[in-house]
Amino acid sequence: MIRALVLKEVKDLLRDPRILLPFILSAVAMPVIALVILLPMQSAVQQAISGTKTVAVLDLDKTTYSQGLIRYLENKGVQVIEVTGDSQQKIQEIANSLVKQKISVLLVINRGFGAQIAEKKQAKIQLVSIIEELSMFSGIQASSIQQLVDDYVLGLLINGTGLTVSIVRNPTNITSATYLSSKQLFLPYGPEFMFGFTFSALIVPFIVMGIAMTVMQMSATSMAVENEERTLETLLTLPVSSTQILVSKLLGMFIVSLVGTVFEVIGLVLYFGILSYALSLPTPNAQALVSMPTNLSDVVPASGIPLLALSLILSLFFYASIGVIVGALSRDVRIANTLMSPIGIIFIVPAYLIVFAPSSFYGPAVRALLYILPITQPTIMARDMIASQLPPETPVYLLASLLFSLILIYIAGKLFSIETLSSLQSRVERLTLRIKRKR
Amino acid sequence: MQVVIVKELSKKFGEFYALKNVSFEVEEGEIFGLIGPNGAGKTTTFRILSGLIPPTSGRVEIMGEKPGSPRLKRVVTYLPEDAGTYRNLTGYEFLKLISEIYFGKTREAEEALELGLKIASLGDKIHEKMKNYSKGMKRRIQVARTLMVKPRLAILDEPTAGLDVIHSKEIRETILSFSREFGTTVLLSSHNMLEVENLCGKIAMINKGSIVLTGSVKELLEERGAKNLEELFFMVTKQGEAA
Repeated sequence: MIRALVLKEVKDLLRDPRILLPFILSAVAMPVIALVILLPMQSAVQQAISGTKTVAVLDLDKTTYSQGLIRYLENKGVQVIEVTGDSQQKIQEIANSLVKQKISVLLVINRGFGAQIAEKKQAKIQLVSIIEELSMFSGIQASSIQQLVDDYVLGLLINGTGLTVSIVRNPTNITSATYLSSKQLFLPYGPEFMFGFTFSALIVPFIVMGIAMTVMQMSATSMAVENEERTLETLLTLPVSSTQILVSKLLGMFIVSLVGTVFEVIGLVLYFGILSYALSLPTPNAQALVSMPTNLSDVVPASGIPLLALSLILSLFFYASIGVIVGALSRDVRIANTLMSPIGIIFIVPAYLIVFAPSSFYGPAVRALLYILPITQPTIMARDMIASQLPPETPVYLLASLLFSLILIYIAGKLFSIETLSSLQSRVERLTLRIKRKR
Repeated sequence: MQVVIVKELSKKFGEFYALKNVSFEVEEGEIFGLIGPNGAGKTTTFRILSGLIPPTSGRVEIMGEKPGSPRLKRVVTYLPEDAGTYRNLTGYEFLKLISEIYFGKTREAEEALELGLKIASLGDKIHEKMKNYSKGMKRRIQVARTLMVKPRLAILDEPTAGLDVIHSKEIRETILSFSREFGTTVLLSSHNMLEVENLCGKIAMINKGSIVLTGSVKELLEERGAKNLEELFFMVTKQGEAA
């Protein structure tokens, strides 16, 4: 009997575009987002590495030092186009005229440049980036010119001291290492090179939260549709108990959310795959990146994965139960969606705390609470599994989560009577009207 | 034998009395009509009888049991006036689901499904998703769902609402033949007085939550000197308004 009802739920949900679409969209969106980040980044990084080929120079100093800089740039393979002008006000006009020639960097050698070098003072120079619009990578072309100018001036300043430019730039030969105390791991590089893992510690909990939100939304919509289409009344007169109806609904949603999770995981894998490719691009830190561990199990212990999966499964029932309660209390889908917005905030705030605050910030009591509550448990588990370590009492926390889910399912079962629902739906309708008026 | 006994039934929603001391009885195998204007209390009575909502006071018994018991749920079916369908299921899948809920995966379930398909008589459309069905097609599926399991008591709130003349007649014939062939007791409401006159042996007329008239259609018409049920309905409801 339950089997038939579960099958009905699965069919009805899987065939409803309102249910599956969010999962599919997020699966498609993730790799697209990664590509959107990758493509301009790749182009900007390549440009920065290969260096700017052409630079316009306005020499207001006209000393041997300024002329020497121009020759130095030419010797380094940069095509220098000398432009003329005599005041600060003219620079904008010069920059404007360079737009047509597709020159993106203007170097202005100010008056006194040579004298400042001769007096061993900081030499004043102006580097103008000519860009069409602001973006994350705008101005990156000027960085290679700046490096060459710095090298030239530094060479002049240390002339006769016996020092070399590379020694002045890197006076110490520091080797970075990291000891990750929670995992008792010694890694031969600094934490800044563990970008992939720190990034995962941020993104994976958010994805877990995303799954939670989608499952709740899906359950609320599905249940509200039963009210809207007046099918719940029919169900309640059939020879099945309200508990059987509720359990079959939850099981149906659980199966569909598993299908949805597969979509999300595919999207996630593609997302990280594309970003990994982006990180493998030749950069000044390429050597350090290459030396990072390729074995994920070095940092993320495989033993934690089943625990995280179990937590996610238990939590899916909890999220689905919340959704079912919200949906049951809503006369239609519109009301259910209105109610889900404030409930979403209840989920998002602790998730941000988990992702952005270190464990030491909230202390052991709050940490235990975050582990016990099914709304936060998989999120904090995902973060700790990657960034530190799961606590030894994790199985106890899982039992607590199970208990919470069972209590909620029991409460949801109690709500499944037309009289209770009708009375509560009227109250909820008044509440949503108040929420809407406030907005 | 009385299948339904309703004695001094009252139902309050907040301070509003939807039903006040309602009493009537329905005999086994009888087709009983509960008629009245909109908001008179017909649907509330049916919801109490199907076990969806509890009464505030009074006695309600179906085959000696309180409505909504697990045993009654197997032999009493209820067709709500505005019963919806699952948009993404086909009519066939819906009827199959109902047959499996009642009988599991048995020969009985197959027979019930076969009967349901016959009552619905939707042809090839039965394999289309119900979101594509017209109001009348959805109603036929619902009527089929209610009768296919051969209930001992079928509570039908406006069974022919939204159906065209031909399909209304077919459904009426089905209800009649069911009652005769399987001894099914039928409790129905309808705004179509001709339909009630043709189908029901006995009726109860309800207005503003109270029963104002009850008895056999023939006797009531003779008693009040009305030509038909529609005239009787107007006479009684106008009296109620004047009072």
